[in-house]
Amino acid sequence: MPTTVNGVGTHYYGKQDAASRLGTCPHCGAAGKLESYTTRLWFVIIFIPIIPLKRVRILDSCPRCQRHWVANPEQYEMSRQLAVSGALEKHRAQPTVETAMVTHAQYLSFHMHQEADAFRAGALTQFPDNAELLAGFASHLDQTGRWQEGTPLYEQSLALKPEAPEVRHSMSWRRTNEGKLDEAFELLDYLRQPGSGQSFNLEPLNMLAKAYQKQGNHEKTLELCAVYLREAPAIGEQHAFRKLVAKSEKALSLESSLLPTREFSIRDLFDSKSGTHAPWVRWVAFGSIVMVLFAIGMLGLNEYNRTHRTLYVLSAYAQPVLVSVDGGPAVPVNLRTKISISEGQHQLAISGPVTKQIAVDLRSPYFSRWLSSPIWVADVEGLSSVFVNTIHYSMNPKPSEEYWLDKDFNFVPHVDYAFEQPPASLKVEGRNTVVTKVHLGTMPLQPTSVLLARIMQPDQSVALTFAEGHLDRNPNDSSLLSVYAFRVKGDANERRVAEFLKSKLWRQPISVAWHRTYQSLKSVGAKHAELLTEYDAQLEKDSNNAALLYLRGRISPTRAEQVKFFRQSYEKDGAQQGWPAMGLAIDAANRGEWAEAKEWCDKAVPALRGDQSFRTFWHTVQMANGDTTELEGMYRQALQGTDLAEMLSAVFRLSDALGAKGKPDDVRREYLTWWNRVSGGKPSSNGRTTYELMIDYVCGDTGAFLKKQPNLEPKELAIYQFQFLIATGQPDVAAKLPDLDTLMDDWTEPLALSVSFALKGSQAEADTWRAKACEELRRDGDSDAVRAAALLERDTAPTDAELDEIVLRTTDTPILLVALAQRFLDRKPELNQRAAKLNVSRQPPYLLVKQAANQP
Amino acid sequence: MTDEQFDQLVKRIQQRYGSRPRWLRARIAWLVAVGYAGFLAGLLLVLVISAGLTFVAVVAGTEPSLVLMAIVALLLAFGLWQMLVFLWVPLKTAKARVVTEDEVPMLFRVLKQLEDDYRTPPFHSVQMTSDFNASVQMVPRWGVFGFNRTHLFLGLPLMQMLSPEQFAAVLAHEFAHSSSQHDRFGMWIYRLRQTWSRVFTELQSAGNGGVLSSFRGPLMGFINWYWPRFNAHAFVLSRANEYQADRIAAEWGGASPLAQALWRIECFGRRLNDDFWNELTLLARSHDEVPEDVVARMKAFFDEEPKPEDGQRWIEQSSQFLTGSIDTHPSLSDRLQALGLDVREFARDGFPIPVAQTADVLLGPERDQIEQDVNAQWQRENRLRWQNVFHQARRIEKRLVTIDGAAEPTTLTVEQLWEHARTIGQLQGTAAAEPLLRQLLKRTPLHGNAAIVLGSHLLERGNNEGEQFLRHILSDPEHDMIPAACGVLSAHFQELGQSEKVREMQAIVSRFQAAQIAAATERSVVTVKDPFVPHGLSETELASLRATLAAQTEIAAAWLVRKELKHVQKQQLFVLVARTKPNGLFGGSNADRDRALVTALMSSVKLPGRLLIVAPQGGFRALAQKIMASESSPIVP
Repeated sequence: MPTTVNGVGTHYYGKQDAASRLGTCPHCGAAGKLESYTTRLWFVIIFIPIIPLKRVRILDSCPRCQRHWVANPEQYEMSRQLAVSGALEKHRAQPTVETAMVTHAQYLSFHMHQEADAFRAGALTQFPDNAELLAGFASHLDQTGRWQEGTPLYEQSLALKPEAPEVRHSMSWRRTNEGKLDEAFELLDYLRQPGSGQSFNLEPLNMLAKAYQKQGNHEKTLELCAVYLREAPAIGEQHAFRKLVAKSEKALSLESSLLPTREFSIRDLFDSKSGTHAPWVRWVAFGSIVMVLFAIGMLGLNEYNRTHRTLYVLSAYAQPVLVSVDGGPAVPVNLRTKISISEGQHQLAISGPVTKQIAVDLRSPYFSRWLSSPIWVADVEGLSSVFVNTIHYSMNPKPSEEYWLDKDFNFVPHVDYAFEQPPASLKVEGRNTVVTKVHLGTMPLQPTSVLLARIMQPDQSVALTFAEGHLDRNPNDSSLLSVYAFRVKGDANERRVAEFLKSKLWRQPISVAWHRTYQSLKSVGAKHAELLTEYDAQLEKDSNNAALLYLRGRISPTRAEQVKFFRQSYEKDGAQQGWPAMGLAIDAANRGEWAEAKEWCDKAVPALRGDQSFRTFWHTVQMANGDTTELEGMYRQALQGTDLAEMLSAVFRLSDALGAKGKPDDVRREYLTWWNRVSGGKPSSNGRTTYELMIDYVCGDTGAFLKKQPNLEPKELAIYQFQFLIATGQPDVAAKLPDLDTLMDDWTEPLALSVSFALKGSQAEADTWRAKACEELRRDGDSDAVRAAALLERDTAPTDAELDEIVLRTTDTPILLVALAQRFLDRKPELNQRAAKLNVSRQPPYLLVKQAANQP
Repeated sequence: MTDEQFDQLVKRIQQRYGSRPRWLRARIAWLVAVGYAGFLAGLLLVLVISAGLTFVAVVAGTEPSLVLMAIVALLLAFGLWQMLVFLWVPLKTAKARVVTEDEVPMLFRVLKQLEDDYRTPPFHSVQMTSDFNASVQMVPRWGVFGFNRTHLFLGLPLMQMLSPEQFAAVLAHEFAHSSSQHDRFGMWIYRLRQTWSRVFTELQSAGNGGVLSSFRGPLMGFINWYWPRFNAHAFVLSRANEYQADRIAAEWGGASPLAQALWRIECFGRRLNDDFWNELTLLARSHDEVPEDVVARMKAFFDEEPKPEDGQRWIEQSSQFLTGSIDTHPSLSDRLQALGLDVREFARDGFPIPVAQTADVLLGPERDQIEQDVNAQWQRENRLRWQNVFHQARRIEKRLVTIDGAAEPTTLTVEQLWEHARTIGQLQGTAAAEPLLRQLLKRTPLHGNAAIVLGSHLLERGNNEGEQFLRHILSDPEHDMIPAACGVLSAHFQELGQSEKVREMQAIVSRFQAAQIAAATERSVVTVKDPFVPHGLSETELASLRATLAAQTEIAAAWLVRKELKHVQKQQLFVLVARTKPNGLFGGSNADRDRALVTALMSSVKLPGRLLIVAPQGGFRALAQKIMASESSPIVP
């Protein structure tokens, strides 16, 4: 059939050699004028014929459903002529009833109705009163849907040959349709005779029985059904027949039925052609099988899910961790490994950098196994920063909810995206629809960030092992080295750090960051003389090694020697490593020569841009030179990143820079923007955060602190609380802070406390805390620190040359200078001036130094 | 595949594997494997798809897909449903009088002994029938996959005709087919062929299927390809199994009782078919009551000696009948020859006499009751058929009265005479219609139906005149009834053991069918490539044609040729080209006028053969131009 879509497709155009007849459409069953014609099939666009495709002969096109047969016109014409002429020729040569019927049938089969009518008339004249011919012609007309024209022929045939079953059959059909059921009943007497089913189709009985039932003559219906059943007992199994009989029996209220007991057959239940059951019964049976199979499948699926649960084992260690389930083979875990495991109790044995046993119990509710995708997560020592993020996709954005998995073994009831990035958007249906998905992931933290979080815990061994693994692979990670070496607590851990660093000190190539860290250890400070020997020995082997020259210079006992080695190293190395330039920059900064320091820093930047300690120094230098624009851009960029340690540094430094520019509002806005991003919009807790106190500090907003002070818990945020207390003339309160000891691990805090007491006029307390600071300086072991302690303790004021010899951290030197100024009043102005010059960073103890330096 | 093609295939297989029985077995084993694979292909396909979807739903997916599981369940249920309906073909077990060991211990003693000797499992039932036969019916529980129930059917009339030893030998032959002791593969194929034969026959006739009958088309295609091939190979092996079963039965009870049994069954069977059942049919035409003593009637029938000439005819037919390709059982002569016996020795002893005591011995005191039940069963089974015959006869009688009252036979037309003869034959038997048939054939010797009916009747009676009537049909190589005549003659020659004449008949049928197909093809189409010759009409015919054409005022010119035919040349095919007169401004013609002229000519032109009328333009342009170019073709003007 030609088809068009929006006017494009195929279509018939033209009509030739048309013929039509009244008949019943074999497709839709509608009675009407069926048309045959020759036409052409076209390819059309907007129903305009564009390309002629072929000529076709349409046969019996139904006016209602448009369905028809299609033939090649030439082949059809040839077949028609040859078949008809062949039959005609045979009939002319030997005119018999049979040849007449064949010819008539040929005419009709080619829709030559007019010719067939003419031929039929001639043949009936040629063979008058031939019952077979009349019945044959009538039958042909029946087959072409011309029932009415066939009726008189059948009637004539019946008159001539009343016993002819096929004629009685056809006439009974007509009488039944006309509602003349008794006449039909009489015509079918041959079917009511015993044994008739052996020779004849019994369907007319069924049809007549239905017609009788429709008229309400149930006795006749049952009589005919009884005959049918006698002749063809198998009909008793047919659903339609049983329904027919049962309806009439019910109408007559008969107690006994003529229907036989039905034999149940599973096969017949499913065979549509068996006819033994109503279609709905078959569909119910089929549906039942589907349900049973589905149930079996679902049970199997449930069991499969129960026995194939997903356990993720995560490790942030750089060293591979081995995991064994229930004593099975060990599976290496590098970052993350997925293990398929059945529900129930299991024993996870973890070995490698850490050895431990974890008893786990995997369980989920029975029905949830079909609907949920739970995941169990074993995070070795909880170092992997695993989070569960519930994301809501909707037209109106809704904030996601996130929580961290902080245990060794965690259960997440359902996860849609496990360690994969969830889509940024999903298609949702409806304005108010919210699609919720659960994302399980890990925060991609730098080892330093992980270590920072972990090393705060009382047991630092896990953190140290973690750090050692990563340092072993990346010995130049200065930030990790810094946290590893200087956040450690306890003698044992300090020894462990020193031994670890020492054990790989001379690994080639020399790691400057590693050596710098080692040199800075307190326990090593007293052994610099031994270390010098080792460096000298190494330099004898490799005198041109710039790194060794630099490192040798770092621990030289005099500034002159230091500068000499730095210059040698710089000459050997140029700006390759940047370290000698940085050393020279620090020397210049110590003297307050910020412009020179900047020059050296600029030389070191290309090599040391990523080094945390250099960036701290560089930040101070840039601030001292009043050029922080470039840095602010860098810090803002860092705040957009994901590295927590980088972000924290950036927050502090950006606040520092903006605070120095006197832009407290900018500081607070930048902070809030960043906080909202990392916290998912959660409000901070009443301005008590470390960051907010820090911001108050760098902005010099002591009023804000004093306002908050009554609400601060003694233990809360000790560092900034302490610094604010000593900067606001409350050293006595600061000295009573509960965690003061933890703050006193460096010499700067006791010295700051001493300065604060001195400012308040409490000289005795000032002397006590200064003595404690000297003690810490000596413990530091570094020659500069020892010299600084000596200056604080002696009775004569230091000369400028002596001060130049002491090279401390740039941010630490100012507090030393104001402490010396308080002690040696004769040089107080010079010392305060020098302190003020060096007091650049707004970070503590900036306010105290500023206050002290401004004291006349 | 037609019977003849199947026959040829069997012969080819016999030629190819006759001396290589191992290769035949290997080939059959391969065909069995192909068969099962084919039957299971649909199910396997469904299972593979389901397994794939299950894998996707359960294993490969990140989360369980309930929708996929539902699809799998739906697909699997649909596949199983379709396969169940298609391959689980229900075969009904014939119902007869079941006998039990308690009832007839002697019979079961014999059966038990055979079961032990042949190591066969017991039959699921033993039933007595009114047939002159003993058979084993295997009813597969699982359609093509077998798992048969086996039922033993014993004909009471057979039991009445044979001695106990002879009857036991017949049983031994049947048991040999089920035996696991001899040629297990061969016997298995024998049984498999029987099972599949029933299943496929049912499948091809019932047209059963599921709701969508999705698998029916491909599977029926496979079966139609597969079954004749397997059947032909298994047929060859099964025939060998028949010989083997005979040999095993002879070893068990001796060759003589088996040979006697086979001889008696053959002779009595022919007598039954020719006389007893014909007489019973005639009885049905006159009496509406079904006899309630068919077994006793059969016994009484056998107790009467046959007429000598009839007896001699049946002896000759039994001893001379040739092995065919319909039944796996070889002919009697071949079976006896395989047992080392000569059928002529049995023939010399004359028509056999029944030995009546076997039924008494094996059935004991229950014999009468069993016979009564068997009669009642026969009565039940045949009542409707019997009454149908009776009522049909009454209808025919009415017609006969009409014909008889119409005119004297001598004044009847050929058609009326044939109708009269046919009616009398249906009512009173062919013998009663014989004079009318002879009269008819005297008037029209080539009347096919009359020649077939009379010829086959005479040959059944041993009258070789029947062959003449049938051969007369063969004298006309284009006679429509040649296949039917050859069929009757072929069966006749087979009974006479004349294998060459059987082959001659088969060859005639093959030639005729090939010629008919070729002729039909040749006459169904005319193309420009066909060779054409001058029309060859007589002057009278040509003048008549020109007159017909002249009556058409629109016609300007006409050309006529005849297609050169290779087959059945007496049926001619003409092609007439008719051109209309030019009209219009440029003197052209148009298609509508051409078509109208062709239509008009179609009903008026009468030529002694088929006719194709074409116009010089339109779709037949090339054909018309070729004809118009022929020098001898113009007839108008």
